Amino acid sequence: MLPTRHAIRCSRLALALVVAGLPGLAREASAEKPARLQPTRIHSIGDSITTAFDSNFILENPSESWVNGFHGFIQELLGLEDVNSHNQRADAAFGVASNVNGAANGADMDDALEQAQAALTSDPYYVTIELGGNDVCKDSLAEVTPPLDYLLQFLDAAMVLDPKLFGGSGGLASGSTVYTASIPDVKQLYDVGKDESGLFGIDCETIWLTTLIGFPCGSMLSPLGTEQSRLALQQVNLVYNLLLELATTTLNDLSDDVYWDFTWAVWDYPIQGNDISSIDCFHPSSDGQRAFSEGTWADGPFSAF
Amino acid sequence: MTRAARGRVAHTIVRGVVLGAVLGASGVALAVASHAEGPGGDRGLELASVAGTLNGEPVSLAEVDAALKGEIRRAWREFAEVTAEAARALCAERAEARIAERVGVPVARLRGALWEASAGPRAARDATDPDSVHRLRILGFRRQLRGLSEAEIAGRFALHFDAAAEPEGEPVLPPRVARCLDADLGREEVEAYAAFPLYRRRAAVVATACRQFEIDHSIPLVVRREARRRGTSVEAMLGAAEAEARREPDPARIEAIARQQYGHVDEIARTKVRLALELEARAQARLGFLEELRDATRGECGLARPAAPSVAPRPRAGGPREPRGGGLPVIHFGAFRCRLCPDAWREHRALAERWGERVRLEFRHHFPDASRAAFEDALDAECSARQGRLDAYATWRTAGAPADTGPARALGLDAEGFARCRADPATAIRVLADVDEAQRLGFREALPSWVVGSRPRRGFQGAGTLDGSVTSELAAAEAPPDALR
Repeated sequence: MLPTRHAIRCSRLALALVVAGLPGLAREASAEKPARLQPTRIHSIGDSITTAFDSNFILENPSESWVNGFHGFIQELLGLEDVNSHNQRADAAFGVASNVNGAANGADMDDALEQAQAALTSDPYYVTIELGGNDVCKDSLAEVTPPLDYLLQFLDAAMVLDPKLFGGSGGLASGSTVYTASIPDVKQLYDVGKDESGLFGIDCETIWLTTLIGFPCGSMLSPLGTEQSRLALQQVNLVYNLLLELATTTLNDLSDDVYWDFTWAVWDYPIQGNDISSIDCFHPSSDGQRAFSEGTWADGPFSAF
Repeated sequence: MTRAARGRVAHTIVRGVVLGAVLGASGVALAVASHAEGPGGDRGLELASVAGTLNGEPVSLAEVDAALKGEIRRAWREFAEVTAEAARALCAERAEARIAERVGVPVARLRGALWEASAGPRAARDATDPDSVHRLRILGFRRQLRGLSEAEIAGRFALHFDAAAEPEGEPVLPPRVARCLDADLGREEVEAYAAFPLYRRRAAVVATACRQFEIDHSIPLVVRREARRRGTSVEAMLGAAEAEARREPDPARIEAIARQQYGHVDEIARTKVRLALELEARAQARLGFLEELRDATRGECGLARPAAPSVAPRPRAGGPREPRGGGLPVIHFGAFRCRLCPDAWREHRALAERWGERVRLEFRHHFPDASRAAFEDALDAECSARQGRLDAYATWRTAGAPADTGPARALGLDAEGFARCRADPATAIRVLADVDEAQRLGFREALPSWVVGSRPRRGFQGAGTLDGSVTSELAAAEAPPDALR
């Protein structure tokens, strides 16, 4: 690490903080960015949404991950769904040389740092981040991650992926993309799933009753919760997303090397009964994975392909 | 209650409101959005349709679609794809029936012959892992079936609509959807075949559009409108709101948080915390701005959710297995070893006890093709049912049957008849037809699932919901024919 460079970067960051809200000035920093690399080397950072937990069969369904999913003869043979993942779309457009699913079930933003460190070992050009569902979904409201902690954890991971931002060296190759997706609206999941007379004919409440005996996301799905507590949690869910959007915009303005993008597509997506896993009424089903892939790709940096 | 929560309650979307009165008063000549004519009607939603109102001003679906970068149109494109696939699948069935007629056998026999042919030489079968052999056999069978019908159809299938056309509204199917062999496929037939997937797309359009009349983070429709009203861009408007509320973070607080978060304070830690506090302040400022916008805006979605999907399961070849009663048909699509299957069987029996003759309870197989164990179970169940012991089999299997005892011995079945039934390709064909029917109805990975009357219910159902469905379907069945459901 070069102290002078470090000082320059930190002061640039400090300057950016002073001019925050004046995007024109901050954006000057990105003028020197190299051309964006094609997403031929993919690595995902995430939780059970990205491992496609319970999307079709019990436990992980790696071929149905919205980012890393794949579909060939074997998947057809096994009766797995084709979710047309980012990997498949990128492969069709550019050819993918490396596709690593670095997500872990149960991961929250506190795990982003470790997952980011692991991501560098596969030398990716396209990194996706989808973390926060498990920060919203705790056993109780009191355990939900405070938004400032959540943001700092995200910035810690950002510093690993793009250390030059903070005066360091290494990290992702110049021209790489880090694409952060919003966290799903867990309250919306609850509203759809509890609508037992709903038009999709799902009955999640019976399954959620098990929140009382250790099913995840008691903070939202527990039958003991109130509408008021759920709305308060939804507000936290929203604040996380706002923070991610503002952070990625700022990082993108400041970084000379890496493209930082964000999408609201996951939060915005109107969840329907068929998008929810019929195994646990919590994770995305194959249809949900397909919808996440479609929405995030369409709103992402490679949507033209 | 948080401020946001109060706002949300205050601005609850009024779904399903017909906006005739509002539009009449404002004299706006836009088509009123409605699904009143429903599937098969002459008109569906169009881009010119009014999706709802913001502060009393009508908003067209075109504006919503533009705010969402074409998401509504994307759903309509899928609608056309689903219809085309359904027409093609129906044509394949027709082709199969023609072939069977030509060779003078029932379709089930034709399929049975293909199933037998797909087994392959015994030596090869024994040489490989049985799970893979099973999967390859299923795949081979389905491919042969498809190849057979495709050869029959070759050059004699054509859609009567352009599935690739850029939609300006929900694709309206012509009365004759496609030409298949030497006859047409009608709209009703195609819509009935794909009832659930089509419903899904219709519902998605309504849900997507209505979400835009809620005002929370940065709902594109509302924020875009407000920016336009102010003569500025969304970015500039939100940026100005954030700049107004900007305050220099307190250095002492930065130090304290850095120490707490990282255990030390250096320039990087300080910078990160400062950035985080700055972003947090901007987020709060933006939320505050949006809450003010919310307070000043009343959004009403005028789109009605499409009517509940109504499906018509096809009768089972060879008739239902052990039907109970003669009342409302209730079909349990399930298996025996999935996580929720034992619970579903418990509900199955309880339903029979509670409703007696008022329901006609039927079990059909639904499991992933890839599962050899589930397929073998289904054959066992089928052959136990042949001897009137389906319930006994389900009880034995869901209780965790010992691996070394077959069902024939454990249940005291006629062993010879059981073995004959299991070896009969017709048994496998009936099982696979059930699986196909579950897929057609849209149950896919949702195991178990149910159809109560004409209402599909995806996934596991608790006793309360099943009873509720039976009650409402019975009431509908007993209502006068012209009564509204």
